Amino acid sequence: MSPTAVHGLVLGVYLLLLAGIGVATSRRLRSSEDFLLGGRRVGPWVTALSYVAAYFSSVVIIGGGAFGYQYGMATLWVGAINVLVGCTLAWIVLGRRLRRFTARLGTMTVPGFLGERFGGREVRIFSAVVIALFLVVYNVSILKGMGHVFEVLMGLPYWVGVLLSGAIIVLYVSLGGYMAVVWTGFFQAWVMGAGLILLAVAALRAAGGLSAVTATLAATDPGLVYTPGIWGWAGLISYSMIVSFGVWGMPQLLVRFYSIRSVRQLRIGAVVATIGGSLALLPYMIGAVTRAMVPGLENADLAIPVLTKAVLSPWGSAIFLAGVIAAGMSTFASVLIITSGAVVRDFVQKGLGRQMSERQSIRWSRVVSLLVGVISLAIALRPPALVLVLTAFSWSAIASTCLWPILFGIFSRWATRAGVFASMIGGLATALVWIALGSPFGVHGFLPGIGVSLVFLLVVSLISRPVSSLLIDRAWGAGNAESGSG
Amino acid sequence: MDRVDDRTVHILRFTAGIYGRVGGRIVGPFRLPWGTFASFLVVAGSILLAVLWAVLSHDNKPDGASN
Repeated sequence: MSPTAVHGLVLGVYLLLLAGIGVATSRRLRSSEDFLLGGRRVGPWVTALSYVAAYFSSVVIIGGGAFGYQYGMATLWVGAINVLVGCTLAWIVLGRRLRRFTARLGTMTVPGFLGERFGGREVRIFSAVVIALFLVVYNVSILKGMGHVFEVLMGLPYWVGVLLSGAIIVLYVSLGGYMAVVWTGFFQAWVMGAGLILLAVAALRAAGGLSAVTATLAATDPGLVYTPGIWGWAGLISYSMIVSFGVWGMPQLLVRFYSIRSVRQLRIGAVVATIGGSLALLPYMIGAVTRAMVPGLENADLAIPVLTKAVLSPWGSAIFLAGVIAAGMSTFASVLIITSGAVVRDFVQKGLGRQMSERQSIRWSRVVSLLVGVISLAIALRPPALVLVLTAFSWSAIASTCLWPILFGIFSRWATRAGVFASMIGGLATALVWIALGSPFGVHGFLPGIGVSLVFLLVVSLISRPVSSLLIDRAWGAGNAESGSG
Repeated sequence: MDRVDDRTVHILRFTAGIYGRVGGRIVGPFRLPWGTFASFLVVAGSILLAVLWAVLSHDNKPDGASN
């Protein structure tokens, strides 16, 4: 069988399985809570592994490999901090409180939580608009990444890769909602893990072990093995922060804490997410191994595809290809459902005050998922050059807007509605302006974004009216903890 | 190059028993730059932290209870 036929067979089976999961989960939908949160009855294994799958996209795998190739072994720190801050600490610090607060307030989305917690419609609408807008940009970058993976590894035209992967995701998300997202994510995490481990083992075998790789890199340039090495502290720390601490403000990941079956399940979830998240080290390590084995690549983004072709059999590379596609699809699907919730639940229903029955709400969520998916696909087919720039600040824009309001929302009774709104506007504006200025001093816009966001929140909260004690009591569960309708 | 010293390497090999058992050629000896070695330790420490938290944290309150 030819390599192309092997790739086609493996991918065909894989995509059919995903579509099957979408159809199977579509029969269980009875309410908008089912569509957006799986009825808050998702188990810890599925929650944790779908968290990992949503966290690491194909852009991270291919881009992580490129960083490893370009900057060497120091980039392993990015993966290590992903595990510690983005997985372990996120679950320990945020999980329990977010699960409790959102259940008490009856909220299903991040803007919903912020709106109910601080009692402000403007907080809800502003965060919903920022999330919807910048997640579409993120969607485009994920689709673009998948199109290039198909192009390089299978020799298919870019547009075929974008349409093939994008259409399947839009189908299963609009059919099965959140349950389809987490179950496909769970399955995709295993495929991602298998692909990455397979490639890492094959690469290390071919290179003669990690110590041989280190020796070769040191002979080429000692900066490729030291920390921070040729990357420098500014680049290493700010990049690690955005892709690790930044996830504390990313709705497509935080929603996993809303939907887990119970607070107790978070304990198993934290362990599973940490072990699963350890995969984050591999793309960077594989990139560094490629630098030792195949020096002189003009485009570092080709590091992982080139190594795949060099060290894996057609069956092995087909599994790795499925893993990369899985990483992209699971992230895209998670982003799609969050965008749909932000538009239908937070903007149309709560922001514009449009009343809907549960059935209408599900129908509209499906239509919006479909529309957002189609719009993302259309842009990704002919992505403007600006998309690459926009992608760089889509994460920092969302995290700069949401991170502190969420943290203060679950840990402090002191932050005010005006303080949170000012924090969102200040954080977003600073991140965008900083990146538009070309990220001075090599610092990513996320860091000044969250810095200004924190200062605005503290200062404006000091001089503005506190949140009413009724809202505080409802959020903290004192007295009669009635559910809201967010 | 800044490396973990030989004594530490020896102790780690002896206590963890990793080298030579799970495929010495792949895992390799611990003769790695400290940064790389420490990044692996951070991952191992994260797993340990998650396990300890899962085992030691007490959570007997129902999901809707106050904090």
